[in-house]
Amino acid sequence: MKKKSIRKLTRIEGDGQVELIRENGIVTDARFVISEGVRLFEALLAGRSFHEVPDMVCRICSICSTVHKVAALEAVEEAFGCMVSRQSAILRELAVNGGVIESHALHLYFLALPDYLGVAGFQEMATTAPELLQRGARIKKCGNLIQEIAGGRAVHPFNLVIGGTGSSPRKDSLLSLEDELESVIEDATSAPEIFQAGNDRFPELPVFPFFAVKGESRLSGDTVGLSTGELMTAASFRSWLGESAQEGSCAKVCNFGNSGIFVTGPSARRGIENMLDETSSPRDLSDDRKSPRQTVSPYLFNLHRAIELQQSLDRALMLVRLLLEEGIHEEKALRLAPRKSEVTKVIEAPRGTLLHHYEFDRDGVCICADITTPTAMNQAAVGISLRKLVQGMAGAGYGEIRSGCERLVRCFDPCLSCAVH
Amino acid sequence: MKRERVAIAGLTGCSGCQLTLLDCEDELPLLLKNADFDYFPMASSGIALKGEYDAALVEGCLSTQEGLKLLRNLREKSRLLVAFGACAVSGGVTAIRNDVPREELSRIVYGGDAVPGGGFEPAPLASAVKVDFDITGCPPEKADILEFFAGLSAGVLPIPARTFVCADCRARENICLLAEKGELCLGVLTRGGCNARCPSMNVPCEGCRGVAEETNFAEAMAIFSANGFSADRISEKGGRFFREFLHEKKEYQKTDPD
Amino acid sequence: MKNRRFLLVGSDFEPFCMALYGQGGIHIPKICADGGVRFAHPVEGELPDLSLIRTILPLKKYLFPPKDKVLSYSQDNGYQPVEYNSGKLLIFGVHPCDLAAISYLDKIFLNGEPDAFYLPRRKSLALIGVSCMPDKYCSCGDIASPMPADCDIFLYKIETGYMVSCESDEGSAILSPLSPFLHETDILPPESTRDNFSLNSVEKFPDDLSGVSSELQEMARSCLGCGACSICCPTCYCFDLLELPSLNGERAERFRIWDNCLYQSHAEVAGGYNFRKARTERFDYRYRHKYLGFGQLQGIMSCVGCGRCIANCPAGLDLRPLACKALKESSHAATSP
Ligand code: SF4
Ligand code: SF4
Ligand code: SF4
Repeated sequence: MKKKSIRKLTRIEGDGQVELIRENGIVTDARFVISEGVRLFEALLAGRSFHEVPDMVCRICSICSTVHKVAALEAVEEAFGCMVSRQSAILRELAVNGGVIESHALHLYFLALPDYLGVAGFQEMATTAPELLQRGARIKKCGNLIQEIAGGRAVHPFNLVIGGTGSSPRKDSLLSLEDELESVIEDATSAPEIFQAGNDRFPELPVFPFFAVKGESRLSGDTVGLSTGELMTAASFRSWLGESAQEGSCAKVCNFGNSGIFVTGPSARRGIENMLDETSSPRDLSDDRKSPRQTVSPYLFNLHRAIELQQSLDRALMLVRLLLEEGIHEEKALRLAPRKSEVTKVIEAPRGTLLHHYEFDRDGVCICADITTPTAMNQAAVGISLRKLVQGMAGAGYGEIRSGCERLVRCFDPCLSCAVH
Repeated sequence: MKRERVAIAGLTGCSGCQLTLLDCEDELPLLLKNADFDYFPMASSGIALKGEYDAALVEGCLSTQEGLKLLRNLREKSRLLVAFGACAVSGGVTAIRNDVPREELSRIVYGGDAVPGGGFEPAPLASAVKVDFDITGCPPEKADILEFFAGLSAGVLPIPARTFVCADCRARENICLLAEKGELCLGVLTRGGCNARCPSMNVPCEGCRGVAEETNFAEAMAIFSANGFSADRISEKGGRFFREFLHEKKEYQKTDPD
Repeated sequence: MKNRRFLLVGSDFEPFCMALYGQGGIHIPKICADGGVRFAHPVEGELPDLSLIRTILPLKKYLFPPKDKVLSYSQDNGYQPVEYNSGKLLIFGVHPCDLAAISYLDKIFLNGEPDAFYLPRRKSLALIGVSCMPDKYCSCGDIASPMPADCDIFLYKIETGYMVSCESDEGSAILSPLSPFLHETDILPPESTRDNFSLNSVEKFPDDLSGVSSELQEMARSCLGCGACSICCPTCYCFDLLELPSLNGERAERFRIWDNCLYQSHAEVAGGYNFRKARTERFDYRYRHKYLGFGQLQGIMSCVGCGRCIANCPAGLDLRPLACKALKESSHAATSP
């Protein structure tokens, strides 16, 4: 007899479940179900002026609010043919890196680390591993500080506005940020070491081809690079990225035509950068060693997240120094003249490639919004990985399999508010 | 000292209110000393509501049957139920199209006729249960959250700000974006307490803390339109957090599955 | 040098200022980077812009800050007052209205038992006044408080520069090292907004506004209730006390925060009863305080005519026509049999 048992997922953003199928008491299959309530952002935006778009879409998700905002700002500006000042562009890149730091630190030290330590959450860590928790908190706080200085607030950064920046940061706050970054970079040196072990408790998992934005800066551009070597333009996304509603899930599932299932995220970014560093790979990860540049495995997601945490800290420090070197100017945000246009932007969010597509009429009214998030892109891969995990754990008890599934889903650091939106 | 038993839950929202709590990095050790976050799925594995809670902070709007069930359950078990953030207090930014049937909106996004998950119009928590206290803002100010927890230990509720964003703004000696720069600043209608966060950085207030105690919408509309803003533009921006601005006012419906 | 007058020629103004800056903490009126006019610290070599009409906030920001910690509590020591040891601050370029406002605040906070938080701050301020040209919002010389525009040094603008009048011992201490720039004179100071500050005595203002009730209602209808007028008013001093416990419950801090008579909460008492629930009642109250004075200062007009409430009101409200109309109505009533 088949029985379904549903387990609410914890230590992730948003509302989702793992559904375990049991036949005669034995777990035979698992499914990833996203049950976050639908807010229908794309429909809410239709018919509203372009002014509303960035401030609304950042409310899709708090952890990714900066990157949603920047994606929408860049889209609106490109649609109406406007280039923000160099200073504003630097501040935005800084804010996006701040978002990566905060998101990765939250995931690694607050949400994932309890799995490695065998505790329920950060609350227990405060007594069993206070030093580690504090270190994570310091790194996370630094990511927030960056977003506050550039964006005015860590969640929903209002200072990033259409046409530029509301007000420029003060020199003294950048100087203290520089100090803070220097000391937090120290805190983060141990991150890869902490997060390279632990997940090798999993049985063999599938590997996936991958993709990430390939652009001038690490996190944004107009082109997406695939692990197969192909390059896709953002503008032609409908030809390579499909999305369809799926029975039982509140989030649409992405597909990549006939090319199979791809993943996006930290490992994908590192792969696309051709920077997969074999020496830092953990033990016994033969799949990844054989062809480091063609596939990625969920085993390595946290490790790569930890390495990226360091990269974003370094990048942020570099940007802060650049701002200080070039001197801060008071600037006025540019005014935009709307025109009929269609625009697609891709940008790397902490969880992977984020795509914003808009169409505006000649008065700047948004007539179509289409947002595709990394968690939707990874949804199919999560499903396959879960199924493979259950097969690999055949014979294990229900509790063990269930917690394995939870841990595996967490490796993807899914963001369910984003996935559904 | 007794540790307060607290539940932190999220209904439909962006998790920004819960995240702002987790963003109180400096205060977390003290917070944990005084409060036991017994139920906090975003940050901890436990998923069962056990026993009674001194307070439940509920983020997000009410938009699913599952959420309603959880909310009722939390209400029953908690001495204080707190609407945590703009979505919980008023429905938030996602309630701006409650004038259109959900099915119609859903068709634009998903194509089919059924709303995935059976979602209904985003509604404030108070449309379904008794709410004891509001922590406003999108996201709320850290200081407001900490003040609530300090009050919880001391056995009192904080006194909500009864001022305007304008008052905070003037007390910080900012120039007025509405009067002097002709911008669409909603500080004249918005409940204070954020220390005029946005106008202090030269960005007009979008009203995220919700409507002030006593407001004059007619006069504000007159000033905004004298500044050249169309009625549509005003109601779009104003509508993000103020239901009063929406063209079609609609009473929040209580959804009762029973 | 006290009670003596000196000429400061225009070309000496800059070196005079620089020498003055050398004496320590100083704030001047200036247009800041965002376009706002404020009293603030001058940047390297910046001269005070004495032509600016009004700063957003008056000097009460130094004497009676918006949120002021007054007590701290700990389990071990109970309630302890906060001590203030503010260093000397010289404010250069204060208009007669703002000086009169300080005289008024002094009466409120220093008469009888002096306010422990106002007193040390007041003592640390040295004031250099300056004559000015009123604009359309000003009402000095007409409807304004009779409080004296006292200060330590006053600068009268004259054709060739300034006439510097030394008005206190503190003023002489400040001026003595600057004597190379100053040339004593017997000429009387020119007429300025500092003289004949108030032409209307309080007695003339009616106590009953029923004659102008329609104007009053019209104002109340247009008022946004935001309270900006009271925040920016140099003689509004209503405050509230707020005690905030710390997270661990072991400490607490008590603050004095600005209150505002335009708010519903201003006249609400325990149990929720409100003495001035309607906005018209609040305007009536504001009129009374500004033009008739109340409490111990009944009979002293508290509006100094600086025009900030008008300049800062998003709805452009102006209490002056109401006062003028009320004046006229009452004199009319008095003369008609
Ligand atoms: S109130 Fe704002 S921050 Fe909080 S859940 Fe809603 S959208 Fe997010
Ligand atoms: S800028 Fe906005 S909040 Fe500030 S005083 Fe003007 S209207 Fe009020
Ligand atoms: S200024 Fe307005 S939008 Fe900004 S935080 Fe305050 S209430 Fe929210």
